[in-house]
Amino acid sequence: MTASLDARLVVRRPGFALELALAVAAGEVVALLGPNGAGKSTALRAVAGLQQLHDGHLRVAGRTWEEPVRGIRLPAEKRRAGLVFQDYRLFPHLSVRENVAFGPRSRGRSRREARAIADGLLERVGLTGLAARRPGQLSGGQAQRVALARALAVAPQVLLLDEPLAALDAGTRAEVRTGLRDYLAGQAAATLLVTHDPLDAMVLADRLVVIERGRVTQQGSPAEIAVRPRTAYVARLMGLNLLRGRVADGRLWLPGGGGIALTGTPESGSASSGGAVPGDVSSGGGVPAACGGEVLVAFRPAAVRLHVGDAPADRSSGGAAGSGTSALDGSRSGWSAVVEGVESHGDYLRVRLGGPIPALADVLPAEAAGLDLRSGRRLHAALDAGQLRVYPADEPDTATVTGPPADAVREGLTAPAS
Amino acid sequence: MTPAVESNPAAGDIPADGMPAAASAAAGRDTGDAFRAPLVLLLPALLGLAFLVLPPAALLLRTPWAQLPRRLTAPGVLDALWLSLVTATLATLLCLLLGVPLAWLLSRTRFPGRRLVRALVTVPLVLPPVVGGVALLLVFGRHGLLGGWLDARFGLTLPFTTSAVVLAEAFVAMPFLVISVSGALRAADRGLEEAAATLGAGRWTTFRRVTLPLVGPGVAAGAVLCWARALGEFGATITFAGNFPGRTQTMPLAVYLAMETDPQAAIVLSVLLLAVSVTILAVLREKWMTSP
Repeated sequence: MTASLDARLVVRRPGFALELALAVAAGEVVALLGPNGAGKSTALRAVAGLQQLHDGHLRVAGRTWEEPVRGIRLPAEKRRAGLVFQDYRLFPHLSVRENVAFGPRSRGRSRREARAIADGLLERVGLTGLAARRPGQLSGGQAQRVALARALAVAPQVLLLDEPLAALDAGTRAEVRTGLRDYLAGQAAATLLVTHDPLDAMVLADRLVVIERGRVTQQGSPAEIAVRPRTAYVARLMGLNLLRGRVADGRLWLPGGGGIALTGTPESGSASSGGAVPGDVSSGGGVPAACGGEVLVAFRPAAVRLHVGDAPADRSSGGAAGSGTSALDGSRSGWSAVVEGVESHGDYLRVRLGGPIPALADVLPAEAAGLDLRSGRRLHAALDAGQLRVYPADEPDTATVTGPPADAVREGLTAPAS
Repeated sequence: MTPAVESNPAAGDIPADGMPAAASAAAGRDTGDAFRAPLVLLLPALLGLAFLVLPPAALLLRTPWAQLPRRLTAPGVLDALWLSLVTATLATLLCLLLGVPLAWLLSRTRFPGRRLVRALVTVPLVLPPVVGGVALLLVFGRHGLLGGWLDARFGLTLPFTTSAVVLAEAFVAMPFLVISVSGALRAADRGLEEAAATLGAGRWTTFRRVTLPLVGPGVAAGAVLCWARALGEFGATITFAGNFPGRTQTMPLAVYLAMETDPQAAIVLSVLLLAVSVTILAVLREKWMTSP
């Protein structure tokens, strides 16, 4: 494997276990995306040497940095890893130039050499004029660039960025994000970026690795993940509804027991709804009826249509999801839903639906007036089959959500992205 | 010191919360915001203030100012002052040399019994100084734990020498430094030390270039406390080092001795000690403690 970073990071704490297989090529930018507490920062700290591994291994450019089984552990100061902390952690008592020169100085460069390196990097990030300032006199965006320059000053083999944009206000965020992408594009180091913001991940990374509760749940290109989410968390990030079901007899059968008629080829139908989705996945598989197994169904909230009144077939069942009776009326592709909440999103309303199929639905204000969207209100929901994206629930190159996570990590995810 | 100063503006607000609205309004109207304090607190507070301020004031009031020049140049007075300043400074340096690393050890490493060690460090703080002097004799005395060995091996006899004064002062004063510095270390941002490590700095480089500059104000405050305590040391010094003019007789000892023979001289010496310590504390405070 030509990957510059190759690792299986295992960290155990009471009530939490991280087990993450990672391979990052030199020059590649990989984003670790996940909710708070998923173990993203722990993984980053483990690579930097600030968090001890309990098992697994960490190799960078062919050299083993840590492998508990063999008793190998290189201390943080001996690793060539540049870490940009979420809160930057600039030394408040040193000038900007001295902050950037700190790394080279600590690694044995002469004062003059270290200064020259620092000045070169400060010029690259456009902060030459601020070299004599103290960190306390910098704006958030400037401090972020100093932190980046300081991490780069040690010529790291691995560049680690912990939520690099989280501490910035919305205005500077967009600007710094663009600048950061340019710096990262010209990087020779294997770069690992931690974020919980899908936009940061999409813009900055070549590849995304989604971790939830310490395990990888999905990985792939930003476009792939945006279009074919595999977990509820990813779907929510991408603003999609995600259901799991089976395809049989030309229908999509959901766990509630009902079926939705699939007309045409849902995959190709995504073109009509894919205006806001970056990239397009043309899997060529069409309706995966052939696979016969479990499928995932992703659709935008706008694909859900709400009408007043129950679905006719649902009246008898009373909407009891677990009763085994059909919650869906196949002929009308609809079900009886309960309004749980409504949020205003500017030019549309987002309705949270409960009932047999929890989903989000977008409604135009003009429609909303006729629907009377009170909490607890029962409505008939229908799906536009042409806007569904249906794909197999388990793919060979992705973590099987249903399978044992450890196996998924070990077998499925060490393969490098194409 | 500083926290007390900082909490003062808030102190005016706290009593108002606990008072009925009408009473607090009346107090505010009559005496202004600064004195909105219930009598139960105000009275003992003023008494306490008087109790602390009156004695030094009395010292100044009763000083025979006319005789001052003659008294100050009397034989032995300047010797005692000089000895006090030198030994207090040496004791402070000794405390810095040993106390800062000790504080680092107590707040940055983990070892079994660390809590016990932390408690032991503060023992000299609660130990009566005279007892401390006796204890020092039991270690460094001619037949002490280390004294005999020092005598036999190096021909070194510590008790009743100027070195003994420095040791006695350092023994009593070091806990002040250790507590102050380890407090500063615990409050200091560990994240910056982590950042230094990722940049390739070992623990010593990190300590020297990051930790120490960050806790600088804490170290300075500790050193000032330490020096002031050493300057005023009496009990351990007279027990362990004796009372020999020019060699071990520091200012507090001179004051005590003069009190028995010539009370006027004792007052003059006391005023001198007061002036010197207040001046030096003021200078150091200006220089170190205003810039965090």
